[in-house]
Amino acid sequence: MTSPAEHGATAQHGATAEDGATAQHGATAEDGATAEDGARRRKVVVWQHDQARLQHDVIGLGDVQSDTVYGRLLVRSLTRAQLGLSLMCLSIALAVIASLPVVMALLPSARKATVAGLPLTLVILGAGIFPVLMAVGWFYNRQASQLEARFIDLVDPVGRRLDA
Amino acid sequence: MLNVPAVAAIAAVTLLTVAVGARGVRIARTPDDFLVAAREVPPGLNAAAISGEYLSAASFLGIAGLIVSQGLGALWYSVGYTAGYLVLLLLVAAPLRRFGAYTIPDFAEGRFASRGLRRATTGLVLIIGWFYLLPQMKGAGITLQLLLGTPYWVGVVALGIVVSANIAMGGMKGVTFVQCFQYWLKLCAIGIPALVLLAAAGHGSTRNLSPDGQPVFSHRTTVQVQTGTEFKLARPTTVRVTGTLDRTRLADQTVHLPAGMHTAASGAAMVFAAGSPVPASLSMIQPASTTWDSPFLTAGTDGAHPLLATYGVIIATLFGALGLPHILVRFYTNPDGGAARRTTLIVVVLLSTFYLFPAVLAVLTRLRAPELYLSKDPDSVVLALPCPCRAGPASFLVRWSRPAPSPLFSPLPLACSSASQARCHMTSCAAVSARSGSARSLPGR
Repeated sequence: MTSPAEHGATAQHGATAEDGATAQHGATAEDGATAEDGARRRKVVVWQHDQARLQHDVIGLGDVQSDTVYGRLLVRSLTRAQLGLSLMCLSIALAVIASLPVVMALLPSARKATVAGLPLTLVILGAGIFPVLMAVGWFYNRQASQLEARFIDLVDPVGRRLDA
Repeated sequence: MLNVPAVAAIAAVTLLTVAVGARGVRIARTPDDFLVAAREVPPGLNAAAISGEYLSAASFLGIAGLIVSQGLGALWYSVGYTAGYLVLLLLVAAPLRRFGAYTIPDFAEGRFASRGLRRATTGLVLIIGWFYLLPQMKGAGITLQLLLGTPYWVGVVALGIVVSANIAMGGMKGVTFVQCFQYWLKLCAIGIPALVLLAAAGHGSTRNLSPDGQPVFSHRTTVQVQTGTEFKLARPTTVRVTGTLDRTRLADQTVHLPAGMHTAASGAAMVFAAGSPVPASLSMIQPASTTWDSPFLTAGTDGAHPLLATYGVIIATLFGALGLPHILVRFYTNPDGGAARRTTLIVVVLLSTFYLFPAVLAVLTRLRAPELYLSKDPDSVVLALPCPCRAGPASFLVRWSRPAPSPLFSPLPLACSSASQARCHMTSCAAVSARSGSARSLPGR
């Protein structure tokens, strides 16, 4: 078993791997497994702690990689930006969805309204709300990708693409 | 007794599933192949696989039935199930994938550095998996029992063998192909009949959709009672009855029925004139405080606190998708976090498309086949609706009183009979709805 100190370190690495923007982390887990396969055909069937550390080491991004204060600050800023984006999109989606029952409850006329002979409730809940959900998702996807692209430009101006 | 088309259809689907799953056989060599399909599943394929895994009989049969029986408020289920993936996209998909674990317990342990949490998560995954497995096994047992007359355990064992072999040989790659295939199969099975019926229905009165409108028969309709039943009339009407009604034997006599509860014995035939109110069976009777077009959910609360009940379902469905281990683990098959995000967005699109059709079928039922209200099992709506239209678009809506011939136009291979005989298809439908439990009691996936 690992000591408490190691646990702490692992947790930290795990957090970094999770929060980090790079797409490379996952691929690294494979690299780790492959390297071990090559050495002694040892099969890691259960995911291991040190894989998180491995992933972290192979990012290959200067300051971010070497776990400096500056690097951590960079990753933290990205994490913050992504969390903010997520929460903003979530509040838009929740506002749209959660406002519907209240509006329907407060406006009996809306409950009785029809669109081309179909009840408004049916039009909104049966079809109309889905494009809204898709639009929020699409917007989030685009913004999140842009945030990551900007982060990569910042830490790696030479242009080694991570998703190569 | 042997239902040849149904047996052929089930055999075909099973063989196709095995064949599709076998595509993964050559590829699964390393643990990465086996557990996470080598993390190279593209977003489109993974999204279809997630949707296929997510949509089951509860969505396929249950939602249409719920809308028919409880009103438009049941649409909140399809909205919530879809919006749940938006929440998943916003909060979970990419960070979960970037963590790079194999399973959810791996993630829990790695993220929080706790063996205890790993054990707890493993236990939860097993419990959730068990509740998904149980109805599938039962459904397979009952279906084969009904169709082939085999003992109950044969279907259970057969399903276990097919699925275990599929997974053992193909691993996650095989499962991915199978689930993707299942999504498109389910979409076609509900979408094509819905579109055909929509085209066949054409223009017509939308009266049964109008606010507060009690459904009325659009044509002179004969209702054959297969099993003795109680029903409720919203207003008084005149029917021609042959058989026992309200404990009185009648032979092709015209009787005036007051509004309220009535009892029909099995074998009774009631002819309703066009414009008569459609009787509602016990399961379809709504609480007095709500109407069919109400945008609120009333299930489980008997009409009390509709707003709270609605928000309860919204919260449960929105955040419920975050906790499904068999869905979450699929994100580990994507190459990276960006792909996991794209996957989830495509899932939202795929589910939105699918959930259009239960609503279409439910509305068509309300408009064109309101006698399905007599059925005690609203889950059978999807199966029974196509039957009245089998005679072709020209005679659509007219042939209620025909006896039931063979099923040709059912979205599922299981038999459906003439919709006017609202009870006679119950046995076969029980098998289908049992696959995912009763949608009324728990519209889970």
